[in-house]
Amino acid sequence: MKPGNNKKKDTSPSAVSTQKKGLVNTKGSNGDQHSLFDESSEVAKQFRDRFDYLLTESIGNKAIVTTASGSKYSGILAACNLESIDGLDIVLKKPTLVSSLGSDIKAKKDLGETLLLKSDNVAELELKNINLGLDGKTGITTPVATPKTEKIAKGANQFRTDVDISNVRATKERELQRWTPDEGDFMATEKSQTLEEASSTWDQFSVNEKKFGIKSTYDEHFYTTRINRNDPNYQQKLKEAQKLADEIEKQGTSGNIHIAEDRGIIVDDSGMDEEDLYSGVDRRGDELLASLKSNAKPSTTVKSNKYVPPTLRNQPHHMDPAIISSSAIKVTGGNIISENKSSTKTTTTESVKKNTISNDTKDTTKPTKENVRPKAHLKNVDEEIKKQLKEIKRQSGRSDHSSKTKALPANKTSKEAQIEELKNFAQKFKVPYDVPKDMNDVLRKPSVSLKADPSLPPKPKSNSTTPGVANKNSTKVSNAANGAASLNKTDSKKSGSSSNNGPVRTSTHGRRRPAGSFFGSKKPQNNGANKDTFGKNFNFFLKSKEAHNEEKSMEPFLIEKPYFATPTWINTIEESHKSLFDDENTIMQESQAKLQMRHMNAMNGMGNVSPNMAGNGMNMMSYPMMNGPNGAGSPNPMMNGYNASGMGMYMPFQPQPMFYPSMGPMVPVMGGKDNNGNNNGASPPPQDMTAHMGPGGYMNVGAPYGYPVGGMAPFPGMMGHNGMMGGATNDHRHKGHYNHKNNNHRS
Amino acid sequence: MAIKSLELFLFERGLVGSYPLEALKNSTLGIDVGHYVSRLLTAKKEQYLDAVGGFPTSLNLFLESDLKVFAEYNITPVFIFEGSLSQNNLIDSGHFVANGNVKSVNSMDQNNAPGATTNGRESNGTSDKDIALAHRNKAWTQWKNLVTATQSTYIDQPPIPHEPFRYHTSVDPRRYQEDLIQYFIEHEVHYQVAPFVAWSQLAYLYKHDYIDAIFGPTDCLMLGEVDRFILGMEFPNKDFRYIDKNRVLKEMGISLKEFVDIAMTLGNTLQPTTLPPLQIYPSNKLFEIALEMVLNTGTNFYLYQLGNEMDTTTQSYLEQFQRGVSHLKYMPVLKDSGKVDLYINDFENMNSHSDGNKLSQNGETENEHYNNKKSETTRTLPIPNDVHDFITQRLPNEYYFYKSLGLTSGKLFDAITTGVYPEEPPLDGGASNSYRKLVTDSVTIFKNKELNLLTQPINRYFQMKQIKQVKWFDNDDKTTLLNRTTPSIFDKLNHLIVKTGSGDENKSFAIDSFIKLLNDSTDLVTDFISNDVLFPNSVPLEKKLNNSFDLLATTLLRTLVQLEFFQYDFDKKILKPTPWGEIFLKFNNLQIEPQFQENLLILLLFLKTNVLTLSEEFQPSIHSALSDHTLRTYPQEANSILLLTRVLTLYQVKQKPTNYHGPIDKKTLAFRDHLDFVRENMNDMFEAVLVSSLTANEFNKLQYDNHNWQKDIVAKMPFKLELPNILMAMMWEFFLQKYLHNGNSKSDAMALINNVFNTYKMITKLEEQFDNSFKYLDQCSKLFKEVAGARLMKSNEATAFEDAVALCKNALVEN
Repeated sequence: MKPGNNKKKDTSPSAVSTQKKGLVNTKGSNGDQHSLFDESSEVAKQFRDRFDYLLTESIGNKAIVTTASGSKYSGILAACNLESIDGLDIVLKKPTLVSSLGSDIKAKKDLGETLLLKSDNVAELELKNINLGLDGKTGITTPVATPKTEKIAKGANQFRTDVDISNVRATKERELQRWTPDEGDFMATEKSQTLEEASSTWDQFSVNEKKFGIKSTYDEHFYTTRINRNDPNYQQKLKEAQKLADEIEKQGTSGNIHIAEDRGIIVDDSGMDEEDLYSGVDRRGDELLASLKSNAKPSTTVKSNKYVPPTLRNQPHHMDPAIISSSAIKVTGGNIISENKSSTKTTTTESVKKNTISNDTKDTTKPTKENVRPKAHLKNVDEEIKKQLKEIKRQSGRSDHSSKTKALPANKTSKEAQIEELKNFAQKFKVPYDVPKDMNDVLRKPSVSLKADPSLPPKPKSNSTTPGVANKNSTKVSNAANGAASLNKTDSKKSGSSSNNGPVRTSTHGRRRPAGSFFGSKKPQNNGANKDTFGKNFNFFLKSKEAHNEEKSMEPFLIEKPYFATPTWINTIEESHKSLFDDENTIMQESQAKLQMRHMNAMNGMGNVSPNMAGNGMNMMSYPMMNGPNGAGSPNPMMNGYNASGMGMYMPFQPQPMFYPSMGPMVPVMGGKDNNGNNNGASPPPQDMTAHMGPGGYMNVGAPYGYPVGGMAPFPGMMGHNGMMGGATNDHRHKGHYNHKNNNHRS
Repeated sequence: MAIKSLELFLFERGLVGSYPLEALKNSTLGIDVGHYVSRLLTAKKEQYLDAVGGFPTSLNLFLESDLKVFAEYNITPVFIFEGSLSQNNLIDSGHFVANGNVKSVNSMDQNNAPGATTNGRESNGTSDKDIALAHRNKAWTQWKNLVTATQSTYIDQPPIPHEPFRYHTSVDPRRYQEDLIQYFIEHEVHYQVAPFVAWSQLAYLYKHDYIDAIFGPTDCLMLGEVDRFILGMEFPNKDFRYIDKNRVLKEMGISLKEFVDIAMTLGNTLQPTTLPPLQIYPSNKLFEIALEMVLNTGTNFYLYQLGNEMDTTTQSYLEQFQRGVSHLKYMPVLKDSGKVDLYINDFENMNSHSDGNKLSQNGETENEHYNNKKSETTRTLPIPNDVHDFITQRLPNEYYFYKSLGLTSGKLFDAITTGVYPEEPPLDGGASNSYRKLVTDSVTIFKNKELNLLTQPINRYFQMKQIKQVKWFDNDDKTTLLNRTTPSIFDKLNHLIVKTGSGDENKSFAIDSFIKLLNDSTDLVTDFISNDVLFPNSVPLEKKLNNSFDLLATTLLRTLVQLEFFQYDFDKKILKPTPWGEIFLKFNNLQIEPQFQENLLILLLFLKTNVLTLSEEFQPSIHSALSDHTLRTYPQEANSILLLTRVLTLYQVKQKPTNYHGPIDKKTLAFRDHLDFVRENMNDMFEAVLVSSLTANEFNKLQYDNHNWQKDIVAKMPFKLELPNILMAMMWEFFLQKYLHNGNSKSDAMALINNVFNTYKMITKLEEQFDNSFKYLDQCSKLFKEVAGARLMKSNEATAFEDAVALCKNALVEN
């Protein structure tokens, strides 16, 4: 009999019979045999649980036990031992002998109040009238319970939901009662009272005095200025103070939520988490610096590691309006300049194309769908325009920020033309990717007010036009730009193709660097897209023929016979490659000289001499400083490289003389980050490196936070850097800069 | 392999920059496939690949998603495969001893294979292959222990190995190269097989603006003319990591020359061994230590090697070093002219501008170099006369061209240039006598003929050159391969020509159409033996082979003649199938599906070699994956299962790309190795015949550009792909075992398979797979009947197989 069948029977409350064999198997009491069959432990456990359940339910019910000798006993099942090894020990109450084989009469005598049957004697156990339902067991007889049990029973072979498995019973809710303190438990009420709840005023001093006899000497005026309200000028002073306060408060919170909150201004903080509200450092302004940095040196390798919480990634407030407006000016202005310079509007084929297309699009006043063919065309043009813009931007990017402001007035005369240009541009400009459908609706509304071609998705163009036209009106610009930029950004996320939108990209996030500069001036050609590049080239036969046709096209072309090729490579000199290596002396001299040079550099405090230093403000600064102590030939070799460079660095910013003598202990204090750099083999951690590498590194932190605090930040990189170099160069004298550095820390 | 420990160093020092992928928009990106794959199949992935064989399927998954990203940014990837190894690498990878150091430890003294002028190969077992082999051995040992330990409890639930079969090593490129090439052709992705090192090919492509950026290993830092390259791509983050050479060198405070000096001592692609004095340091700190030595004490490692030259054991270090540096200077690349030439990487003078304060005594030459650099004409270095010493001997351009297409695997080319055809241990270790006999026999069945075909058209030197087969299991017994026969094999074969006429230009080649062609012929002799040969230049192009079908059909016919499926004699005008050939020609009539025909042809050839019959036990025996319980209780069925699993090694289950983790079966794998060995040799043979025909100008080679070559010829060549993995075989094996033990219940057995093989992750429509593979088995059964009928196989084996198929049939029918 299969265990599964067994179970099915169980569901009927009439009669249950369990063969010993079945028991043995489901119980898993015989380990070896059990593993014969591949029942996953899950299945086996289920059987076991069901069996246990069956037995538990049948306790107190009538049971008939057949013993090994063939006798049948009936009685009330009192207990059974589930742990027994080879079957089931059973205890029957009020046993009676039902039938017995042969002359087993004596058995009847033995029957007392209880009958204990050992497992090896039990051949069969028959259980009667077991109610496997849940009725009466939980004490609740809900009609719902019945179908539920059925469900569970069915579940043996069918799919069971979590609810079925977890066997949820209908729970009865207790009526909740309010807790009231016991009468007379005064302390409890007192203690549990908060200050706000307290009906009486709480005077800590009096309580303290009452309870502990401590008299307070507190006087408020130790801590604050006593206001002399009797002063004849009191009213005047009050007015003055009020004025000052108003002035301060009128300044606005400049978006600082803390200040706003302090002043009781209600801020819309939806979309901000606590991190931003109370904990995170306000980093707006970094974008400005980042853009300055990237403009000044496009090939810098800095990547802002700034964490932007997910909730804020779409928030426009993370953008500096100044950047958006200025970069917009940059582009549009640049465009105008370039086009104006080419004096005639139709000089370049480019502009001809543009014009025709813009006419095209103007003529077709019908919606987009009928505009399919030119659309593709448009795309190309847009690409071209953008490339142009990008190029212009790249060129202008190198020059300083201020140059743009110069450029604009120069063009003031042609302001009308500018606006016209911008309008044209606005009409031509089209988002180079498919705008999501739902976006279209959003965008369409404002377009009504503009006289732009309705067939074009209108909103993004305001991105470039509005800021440019209204650049004087700075507040408005920032809003518009913010809106546009954020719109653009969401779009770009979807299509991932906004790399050409130079201005928008730079302003949206400091996190990503402007695209394209990886290649520097060398622009990607995408040769590979051209099939011929790798199809015709590198083809031995075709290229040979080509070469042949060029040289001697008269003769018939024959493919070079392979046996002409020698097993050796074609050489230009009759010498072994080994002879091309320098001889021992040369190398020796060279490496000695190199070493000396490094040595010298170290002495001059130029351990990290490098041509790019010119571009690195910090390093420039460091020269004279480092020369000082080093050139003087510090008598203390321990202090030499490391301290010298370190000291040199610190001098201009924190010129307290105390640093000189007590350099040692100060190092760890200042350390923080730079300890990393120095400790793990003089490797500046990446973030420090970036700070160092970026030419804006110094400005970056220094500018917004002011000098004493900011002075610290750029240093770790420098410290680490110089530390490494200085330490390293000194090593040949001190054997291992690890020691050397450790000494420093300890002293 | 990259410069050892450098990558870690660069990351630690923050010298690796990062950019969003967008920065690469519209660019062409050259990718070093070896480097790329090593980033995808990291140590944690495909750990059981070596235990089941086949192609690492998870690779497809990555590739697919990566290609999508490339497409999104309009990046054109160009994948460059690694070509031949150069001298240093050949020695390091045990080419001359056909084994990792497992063996060479024992036979250090004897390892003086030809070509290896210096074999001072230290047995420090650091090459990738050594580690891989050692780990595989260890895993098999562990597996054996596990099997023994579970013997008493294992009934029908197969144990799963704990020890991975791969660890910290890269997957052997040969495992994926052919499959990837097929994948690239199918998806129209550009690829090239470099003649030698992949990244030097990339350097050439970069310099000549064929690509905009290089995605390669840290070795690229040694390239003079590559200022920045991409080290890694993080596709999920949509950004990539790159290295700026000048910045890195600046930060380190050394010149490029010094950097190369360090790199050559650490070990890199061109010089893979870590040389003294750095050998004693922890491998992950090597670069740091070396750099400090240079900065602090002015160490020059070449000088160090020179200084220790007198000692005979270190002699080779100096040479290794020199070879590495010279290789770096003279890198053979496939140029756009289609010729393989040396690309001069004058790294020593490249960096002179950032090395301004160089020695005064060299000042004059410095300036000169500097000027040269400026005027963009890199002063060409003199090319020494022993380039072959550090690279290898040179082959004709045409051969390199075929290799660049992926038309040939290049293994035979390497044998020709190095003088050694290594036979390396297969995945299961190759301990069985039958496998070893197969290896030995392959010399006469395949190798001699192949080498004759390939050396005949090229320089006479190679015709005379001794080429030896070196076997991993018997290093002392080197078989000299016979590459000279008169008349040459090509002379014998060149009258065999399949020309279907120009009517069907686009007919693509397949074995079933080939069989049909032969069956349709009323007279093989008149149809396929031509009185005129095609190779002379006097033959007009129209008369030559003009389409890929004719070319490949001709090649296959000649190959089958070589393999004695056909009897052929031009003088006596005989061309008729041998008994084996007759069975092959019956494939279509037996209704064997075209997709199985290639593999069954391999099976036929294997049976023909007669090293092992289908039901024969391996000697020494390999423990079956069936439980002892099964073997005792159902000996008959166990035998059936053995037959089935062996035949099923040729059936590829439709598998989703996953990292396989599950039961393994060494016995089945061993049989698969036999078949794969045959497959590889058939591939070699086919390639050799094809190349001999092509070089003889029997085919109009000018009509195709590279893409056509790839699409019409390379993609259609048979025997290229590695044989399937043994998953289907194992699934049947354990399915039947469970079925037997569980009262013939199909559903239980299927549930077990589902459970044990995690099929929900791996296979869609498991039952359908079983049904399909059953069809395959059924067709095999018919085939064996024929084979037995022709007395080429014991008839009791055929009937036993029939019984086995009947067992499968019963099991598949729901009860």
